[in-house]
Amino acid sequence: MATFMATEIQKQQEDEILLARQAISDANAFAELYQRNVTRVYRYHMSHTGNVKDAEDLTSQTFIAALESIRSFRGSGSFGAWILGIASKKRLMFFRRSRNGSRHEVPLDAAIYYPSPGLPTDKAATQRLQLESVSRALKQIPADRAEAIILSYFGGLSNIEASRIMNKSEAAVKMLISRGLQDLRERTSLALEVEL
Amino acid sequence: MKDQFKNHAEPEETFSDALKSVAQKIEVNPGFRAELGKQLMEAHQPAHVNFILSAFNRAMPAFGWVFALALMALVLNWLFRSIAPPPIPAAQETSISSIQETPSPIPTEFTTPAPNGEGYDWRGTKLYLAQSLPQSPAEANVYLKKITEQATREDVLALAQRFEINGEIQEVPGEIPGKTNYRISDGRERLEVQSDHYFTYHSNFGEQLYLDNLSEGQARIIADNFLKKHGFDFEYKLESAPDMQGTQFYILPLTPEGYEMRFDYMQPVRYQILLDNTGENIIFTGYSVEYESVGTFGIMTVENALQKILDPNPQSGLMEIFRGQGGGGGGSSFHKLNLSGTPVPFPSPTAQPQTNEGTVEYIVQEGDTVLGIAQAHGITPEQIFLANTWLDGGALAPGKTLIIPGAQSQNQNPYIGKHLDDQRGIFIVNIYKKPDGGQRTEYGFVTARDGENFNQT
Repeated sequence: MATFMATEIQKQQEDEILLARQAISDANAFAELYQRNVTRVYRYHMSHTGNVKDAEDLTSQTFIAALESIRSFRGSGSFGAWILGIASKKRLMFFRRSRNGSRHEVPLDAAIYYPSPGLPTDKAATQRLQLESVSRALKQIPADRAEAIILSYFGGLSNIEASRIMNKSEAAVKMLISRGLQDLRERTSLALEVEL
Repeated sequence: MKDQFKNHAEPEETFSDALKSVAQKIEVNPGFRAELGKQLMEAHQPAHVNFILSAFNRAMPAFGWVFALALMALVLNWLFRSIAPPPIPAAQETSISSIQETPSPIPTEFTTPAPNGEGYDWRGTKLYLAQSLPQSPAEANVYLKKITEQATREDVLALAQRFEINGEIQEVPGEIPGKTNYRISDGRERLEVQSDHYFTYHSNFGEQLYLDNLSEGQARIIADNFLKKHGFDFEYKLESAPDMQGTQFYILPLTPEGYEMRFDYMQPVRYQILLDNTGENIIFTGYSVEYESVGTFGIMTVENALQKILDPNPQSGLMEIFRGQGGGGGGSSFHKLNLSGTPVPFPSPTAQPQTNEGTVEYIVQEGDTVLGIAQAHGITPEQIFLANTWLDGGALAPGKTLIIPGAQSQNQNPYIGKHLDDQRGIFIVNIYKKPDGGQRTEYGFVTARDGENFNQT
């Protein structure tokens, strides 16, 4: 099972490298990459900003930047890792701007949250509350731990991929995630009791 | 393997699984997704007309949803405003809270660095102070948050009484699977309490709030009346919420000394209040937590704390998270810091390095918890359960030997040997009161660059 999954992932990576090369001249190829990766980029920005408007804004910026620099994708890692690297740079620029006072972080409730289509309203509300609780907690824990968790859980990257984006060793990322999870566990009611 | 762990984990999902499921539920708004796809195609040179069509076709089922969503958005917006309180990045500390004792001199804006100032050596890294060290008080009052348990019906009833709501308590699914939230309403007023004690009170539930631009003076009068009437009798500071000026205000409780209460990571304790121009319609949110005074503790000066950070050989009283210079065990020792006196080591975790492959054995001591041991070794409780199958159903008896897999003994600090000449940052001193009566003090140096930090505990 595990080996099967590994080859699946490998295949998908090779596929994406091929697509990225085609995407230089072929809009369809880029569109395919966009469709495959838009969710992870959006989840990444959503978990950081906590609101739909900024998440959509940053997702647009990320893909526009990716389109402009698609030639620079060397295929040394997965396309997903590459685009989240761009996402993380865009986010930093964004927060730098907001720190200067030109814009504020809008709290979650100020934005309309689009639930998965077809969900009954109460389920959608529960989802929203969960995300809110996590998003709130992510802002409270040290930034590097939060980033490691977001890249891995929301961006769907492996530890190695996350470590490249964060300029840290894989072991360091593992540790950040492990500590970050502890922090989060203390701060969200997802709390899991393991005291004996 | 996983099942063994599950026996210990009350809620079915492990925390990690729960988090994954939260992440996976975030979906991109289909309308936006299609629109951005279209824009990207147009930006791509040369434009491919046939792609735009194909993107449109793919998005067609989604467009049906756009209409449904437009409707739903109205409903949801209203619903969310009523049941989902705006986030307060405050009182979430579960067991221990500390009140930040520094009155205000923590710099939030950084001026140009002063690299010509005195440089400090921090294990190969040169640190310069961008500002002179702030004055700090010589002692701090520390408070302990009383409630750590999940909210109960009784808590909710007590809170409802303060708001004078008479009605049936309804249990609704919690914000997290497996948790319960409570809701109580008399048809007009409504109170919802999350499992973590975060509550939202509506004076006129379901009624449109006609927001107006209130001055802080007007808001203060309304808020003051409201708080006093419902027994929220504490000194506070009123602040306009930055993005909703004139309608939403923060209520920041003050310590008896007049400082704003702070939690771990400098998070303010705060309530939020949403007011309309009549003063009749109010939405009030926050954590219903109470504090008890733990006592007054002497604290070291900022200068001293800086010296502690710089000290190449931290003495007892400090636990260095990133300790142990390469190769070999070097399990971190954990010490209690007697703030104004001599540090006394904690009686519990002491790692005993055994092999060089990152696995150490640990002898269980009185009062140890799996979580505690895992934290002390920088690993997850799951890893401990997986490596110690006998734990399944067995007790963590003192004297037993635990295998600690992959204990973090390597030096992980990426800053060692790196020049950070231009870095400016903040020193943070946190004091924790532990449930066992001990104390823990953490010194942090957070650089201005995206929260990179150095920590010492």
